[in-house]
Amino acid sequence: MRNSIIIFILAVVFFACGKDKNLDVNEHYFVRSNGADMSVWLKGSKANKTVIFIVHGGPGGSAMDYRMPSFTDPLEEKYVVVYWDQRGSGASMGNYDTTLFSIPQYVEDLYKVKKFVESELGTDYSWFLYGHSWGGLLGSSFMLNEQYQQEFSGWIESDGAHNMPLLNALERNMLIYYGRQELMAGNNKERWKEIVEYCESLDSVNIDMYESAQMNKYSYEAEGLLDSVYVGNGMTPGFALKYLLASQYAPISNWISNTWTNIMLREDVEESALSNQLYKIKIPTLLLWGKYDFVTPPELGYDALNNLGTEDKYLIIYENSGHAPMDAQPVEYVTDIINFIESYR
Amino acid sequence: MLLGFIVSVNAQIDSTQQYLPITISYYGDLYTHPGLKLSTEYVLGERVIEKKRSKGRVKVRHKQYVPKLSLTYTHHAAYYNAFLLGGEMNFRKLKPSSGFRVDKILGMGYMRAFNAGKTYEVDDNMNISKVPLAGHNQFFMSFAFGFSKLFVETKQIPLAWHIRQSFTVYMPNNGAFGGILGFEVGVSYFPTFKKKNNEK
Repeated sequence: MRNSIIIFILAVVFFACGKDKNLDVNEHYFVRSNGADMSVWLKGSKANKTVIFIVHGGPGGSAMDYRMPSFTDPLEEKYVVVYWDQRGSGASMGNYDTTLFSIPQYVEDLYKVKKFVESELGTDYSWFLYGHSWGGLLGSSFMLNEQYQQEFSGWIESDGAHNMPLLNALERNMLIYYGRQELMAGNNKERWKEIVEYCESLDSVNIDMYESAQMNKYSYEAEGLLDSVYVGNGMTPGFALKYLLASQYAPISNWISNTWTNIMLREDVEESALSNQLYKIKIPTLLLWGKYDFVTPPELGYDALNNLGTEDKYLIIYENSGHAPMDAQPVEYVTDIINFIESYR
Repeated sequence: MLLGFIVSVNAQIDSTQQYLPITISYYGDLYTHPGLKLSTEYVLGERVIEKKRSKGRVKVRHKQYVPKLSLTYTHHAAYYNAFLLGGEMNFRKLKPSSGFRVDKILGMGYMRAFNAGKTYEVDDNMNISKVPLAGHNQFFMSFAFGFSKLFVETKQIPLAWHIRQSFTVYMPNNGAFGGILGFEVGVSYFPTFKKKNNEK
């Protein structure tokens, strides 16, 4: 027993310090922008001269959380994947004023990181921006800048939050709709009753940020209450243990910063409604959504599809996914991303 | 103010406690992220508490006030290499018959975190420049709780061991603060200790 414990501890320490698998590109940098030192990893293959730049969710998430083998291994085999920890998130650090927690600053940070990576890889690469959840809002905000979008060959928005007032209304309706169905079917009655009653008590056109935060919690719970939603392999006990004891993150500082960042950006996020500006995005765009995504309902995907200014736009709904189709249906999800990139790179 | 209070408490210190130890510890943030801590300490004040027990026995405990000076290094791959230079105050309870000690430690000091990775600054004109020795200056506060055992008096060996769990808050970081859950295990050596010759 004692030997097993020693071997386990040594294995954890080994993994904490261990090198990655054999990758063509495997670099880690910090990019400093207005007081923030933001962690940036480049991992993958240079063979196809293509970069996919991941804009993580949150606000206050971590880019490396997306580095699940079933999702990113196939991407790293073909492309250089940029994992960027945004200001105040993940392994990013810095001493700066809290006024810099703003969407325009995050857009500026994103562009600076892009220019830095470009200086490392060269200017002959095709670039694709991928944003999930809050990353969908940040990526959309970025793409509204004509100069910035011209430097990318494509934009991939997955379960994105590009219109928060609309999102809140759709989220409320979706929770009530499925909640009532489940109540009639007699499934998880206690939980659904609480969720439905809470949502019905809200004014659908005037949902404040506290109500929005509560609905967000219910939305994650709702996914777990439905049998139709596949549960992925992303967050296994082994993954959680490795994150806690052997990841590149300092979990406590990571958690504090992420929570703080979420609070600081909340007001900015809740007021963001970009639907009527999406016509400015004229580059090929792929929209990926989980059918049972209560957090950012699939109707937002249709909203983007209807408003984008490009003819090359596609919406794919994953029938057995919630807010994280890259985890629930990774094979289909990655295949769709690769097909899109291969078409436009 | 804190030191004034301690000095006024008492000065009845056993001479064997006055040897300045050199302490070296493994310092692990969340146990597995490795680091090293060097420290020394001095017993500044002591109060002897005697409690009468049944059958005429007396329970003796020493409450000690022990300032410490420490330098800690902690490493997180892809995050930082940090050095913490600080002063600590150990509010210690010693059982003299066994050398067993309970430590409650408050500390504060200066932390310098060096980014664990090459750092490049991109200015508003998109000019890129390398930042040598990039990192951040921070203030930290810490609290630790643990146990230690001293062999100086009981076995005439100039050693002690300790095991502690600490929590350190450093600031500013990302507009707020960061935290380290540190686990310490180590030994102290008393270089100036001389064995008593009254044995045998």
